[in-house]
Amino acid sequence: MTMLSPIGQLAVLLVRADEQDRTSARQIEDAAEEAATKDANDRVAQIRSKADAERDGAFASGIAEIAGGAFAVGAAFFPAANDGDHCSQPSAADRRFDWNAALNGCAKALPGVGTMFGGQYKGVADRDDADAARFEAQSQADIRRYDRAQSDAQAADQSIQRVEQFLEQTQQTENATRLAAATFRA
Amino acid sequence: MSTIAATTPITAAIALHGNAPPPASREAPSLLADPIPGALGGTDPLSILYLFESRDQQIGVDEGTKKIEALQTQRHKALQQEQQAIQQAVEASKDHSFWDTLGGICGEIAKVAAVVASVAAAVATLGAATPVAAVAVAGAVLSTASFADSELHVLRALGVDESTAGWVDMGMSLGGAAASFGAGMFARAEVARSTLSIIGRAGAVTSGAAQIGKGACAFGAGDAKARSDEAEADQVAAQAQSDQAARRMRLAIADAQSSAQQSEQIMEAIVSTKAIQNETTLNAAIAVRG
Repeated sequence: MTMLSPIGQLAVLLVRADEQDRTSARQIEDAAEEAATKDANDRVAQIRSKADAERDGAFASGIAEIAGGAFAVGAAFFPAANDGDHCSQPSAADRRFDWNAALNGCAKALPGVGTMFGGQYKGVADRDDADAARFEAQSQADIRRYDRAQSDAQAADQSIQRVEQFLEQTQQTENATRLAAATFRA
Repeated sequence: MSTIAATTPITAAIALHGNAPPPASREAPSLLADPIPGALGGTDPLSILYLFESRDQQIGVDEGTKKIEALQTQRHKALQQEQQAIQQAVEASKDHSFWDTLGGICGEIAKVAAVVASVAAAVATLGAATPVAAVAVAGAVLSTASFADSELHVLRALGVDESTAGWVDMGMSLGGAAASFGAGMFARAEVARSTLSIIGRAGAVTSGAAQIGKGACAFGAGDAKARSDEAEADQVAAQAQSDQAARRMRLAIADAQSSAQQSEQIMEAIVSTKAIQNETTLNAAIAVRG
């Protein structure tokens, strides 16, 4: 194998170092790209989960509200237990089950139950929202890491090109010198 | 020259290609002369190297262009999807606003109807023993309200203009007077009680129906909000795809540029070497001639 000049050996070392830098930068770039994609997918999944939770919560509270309204309408068709003479003694009819009060009670309670269940779903939706925001932040960080790695890879490329240019200039100078010497001898 | 041609893979490939017969063509005969078999075999290796490097550069540029065009198409598609998702989100947001407003109106109706129903029930209950008292109480309430508003200007504070508030006050006052007067007329009559009961029931039914409407609107609003979120998710996915395509495009452009620059440098080195070779030959010739 031909022995390289000190400048050539230095150039080889520089190019090897730059190659390693470029390779590792490309690896970081790939990893960051993959992580950014995964974080974006996770964010999308969290937003979809939030949408499902919101739909379920609206369904729960809406159904409860509708049922409450139906009970309120039903209650209107039953006479109230106290819809009589207060001054007289309670009759046997008064001691019957008070459908009006029961249905009215249900009508008032059901929206509250719906709100309670809806609140649980809202909690889930808020947590999904927070997770989506976290994944967005992670994705942004991955993209920044990707940009930095790309800059590093480009810097390594430029460094290799500079070494090549330097070697070429050195070679040209040597050649010119040898040509001048040969011309002089001739 | 022949030794090099026999040992290096590039020249071996050239020699193989050069010795191969020309491809058969069914088209009209070309006006150009047929290439001589083995023409490349005797050519200068540096020139052959330059030719292949030039072709390699061209192929690299073509491949890079195709890759960038494909990524551009992908990005364009992603942008279209993003626009569609934004449009869907806007429509879902409008739907949500509509259902929300309708639900609010239903809720207000339910509240007012419930108040009417409860007041009617209360008055009817109060008048169970003495039905006249119900009318009397209603009259008293109206008269009191009229008096209170004329003194405290509640309606004006709520934004009702002067004239309208005056008419309302007068109406309540007249209503109160009429009710008080009617109380005497309906004395010992069950009509008032049954009327109030009907009003109470109607109010309760209206309140319940409005509550049902409110529930349906809540369901519709929630569904619209969920659709809006799903559209947002689609938009995020499309945006991520578009950004990814843009990053890959940048990388492809950088790779193509780097490859082209390297090929350019190699070709410059070949040119430089060829020039030195020619100058060396010239110097040798001068030296031989003396």
